Order: sequence, then C-alpha cells, then structure tokens
Amino acid sequence: MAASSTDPTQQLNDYIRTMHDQGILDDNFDQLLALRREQNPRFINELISMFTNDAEAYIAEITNALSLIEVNFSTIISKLHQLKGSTSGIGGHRMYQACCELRVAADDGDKDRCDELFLRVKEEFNTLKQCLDSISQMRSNIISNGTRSRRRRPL
Amino acid sequence: MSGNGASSSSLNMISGEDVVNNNLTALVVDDSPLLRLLHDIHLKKYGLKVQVAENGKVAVDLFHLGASFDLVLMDKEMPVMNGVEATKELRAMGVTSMIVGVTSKDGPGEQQAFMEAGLDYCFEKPLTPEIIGILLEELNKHNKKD
Repeated sequence: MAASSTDPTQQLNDYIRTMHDQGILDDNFDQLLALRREQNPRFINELISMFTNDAEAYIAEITNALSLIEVNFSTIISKLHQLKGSTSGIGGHRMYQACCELRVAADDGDKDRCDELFLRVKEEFNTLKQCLDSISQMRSNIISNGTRSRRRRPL
Repeated sequence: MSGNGASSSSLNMISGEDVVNNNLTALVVDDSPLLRLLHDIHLKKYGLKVQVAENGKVAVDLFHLGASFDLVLMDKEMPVMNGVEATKELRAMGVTSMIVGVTSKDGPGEQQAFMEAGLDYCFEKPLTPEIIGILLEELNKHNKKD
C-alpha cells in the first residue's frame, strides 16, 4: 500500500526534506537517521536533546563573554568552536554557517560585528531547535503508534 | 604511514561495509561531547573497542600510562592541549598509531599545519561511516604487512 500524505512516516520524511531544501539541515543529519537502526528508537531524540542542551550552554557562555567591558574573545572562540562542532554533528547547516561567520569576527576582535553576527547565530539556533523539536515530536508519535500497534497484534 | 597531505582522494575508495574487526582499538579525542559520542558509535559499529578523551593532554597521558590504540581520531582545536600539539607529542614519543585529524572547515593552510604535526590523514568533521570504513581498510592492510 502506497504511503499517503497522512502517513506519519511520510509526513516526517517530507518535513525533513523541506528542512534540507531550506538549508536548515544537511547530510550530517541524514547520517544520524541512519544510525537509528542500530540504536534504540529514541536515540535520535536523545541526541537532539543533548545538542539543544549543549548549544544553549555554549550560547549562554558566549553571551557572557560578549557582555564584558573587556570582551573575552578567547572564551568566545573556544565556546564557538564547541558550538560549531556540535552543530555540524547534528547537521545544522545554516547555524553552522552563522557560527563560521561569527568566528571570523571573533578572530578579528571586532565586537560590533560579533554582536551582529551572534544575533544571527541565535536566530538560526532557534530555527534549528524548532525544526529538531518538531522532528522529535513526530518521531515520538511514530514510535508510540508503533508500540500500540504491536500490543494490539493477536498472539 | 606518515603525514603527507593525504586526503580522501588519496585513499583506496573501497567500500568499508564488510570491515568489521573485533581486534582494533580506537581513541576519539574531541572536546565536543556530541562528536565524541557520534564517532564512538560509528567506530563501535565496525567492532572497534573505543575510548574517548576530551582533550589532547588526556590522550597523551593515556599513551604515557602505557595505553595503545590502532587508530586515533584527533580534533584540532581543543582546550588544555590542542590536536597539533598532541599529535607532535605522540609522534615524539614514538607512537605509530594511525592518527586521523578531524577539523572544522578550515583553510587549506591550517589543515596542512595539522598534517605536518604527524597526521596520517585529515578530514572535515564529523567523519562519515564511509570514511571510517575506508580508514579501517587501510589499517587492516597496514597491520597485515607487519
């Protein structure tokens, strides 16, 4: 039976394809999806949660570093490196690009440019977070429905 | 093997799907918890025994304590001791493990500096399962010659 647009799995696939088209996600996210076959079904959701928590912590630290009278560019660069790494791991393409641009400004010690580009990093993080939260929710629904279907199966 | 500017194009592009080796060990050196986890999972999928280290100093200390690994995945930028310093130190200690650098999208000059520290290969992070499979093929071939 062909999958219809109301099929939750097809809806999830279509959503992920749209996120690719908009440049929000890249192939690295697809690599994570390929891992799910070997790991527990909630692994991807756990990974998304891990990324979100880590990214929020790094963003908070960069915010602090930028707010100092004597801006701490080495802290910014260090936390940005970690944020870039996590972002590339999760497949957040646009956010990764924003981090790269901020890195250039931080290397140059340009506070005004850092402020401007950091705003973009935070915007892209919010966009990516919403995207990943939606994917998490859709996957949770699929997993739950799959569990209920198995329980209804006759012995 | 020695660091000579090797990239994916210089590797024999054999599919790594059948490379499952229960005898190889790997050390993942990265300050990103998420990337440590991802590389750990990818390597374990190929049957490797994996340890992780959060910076270059932890990695070097492991070798000083007598640990040995067939493969080291080395991040470039890390606190305490970065990948360039750690790689130089490991090679100075006489470590002959395959050391593969993993970097952000740096300029070619920066990758070259990392290669010159003593890497065997250098790739953008995160490593894909395909690249890992190819590296393991190279490792298996290298081990057979010994």
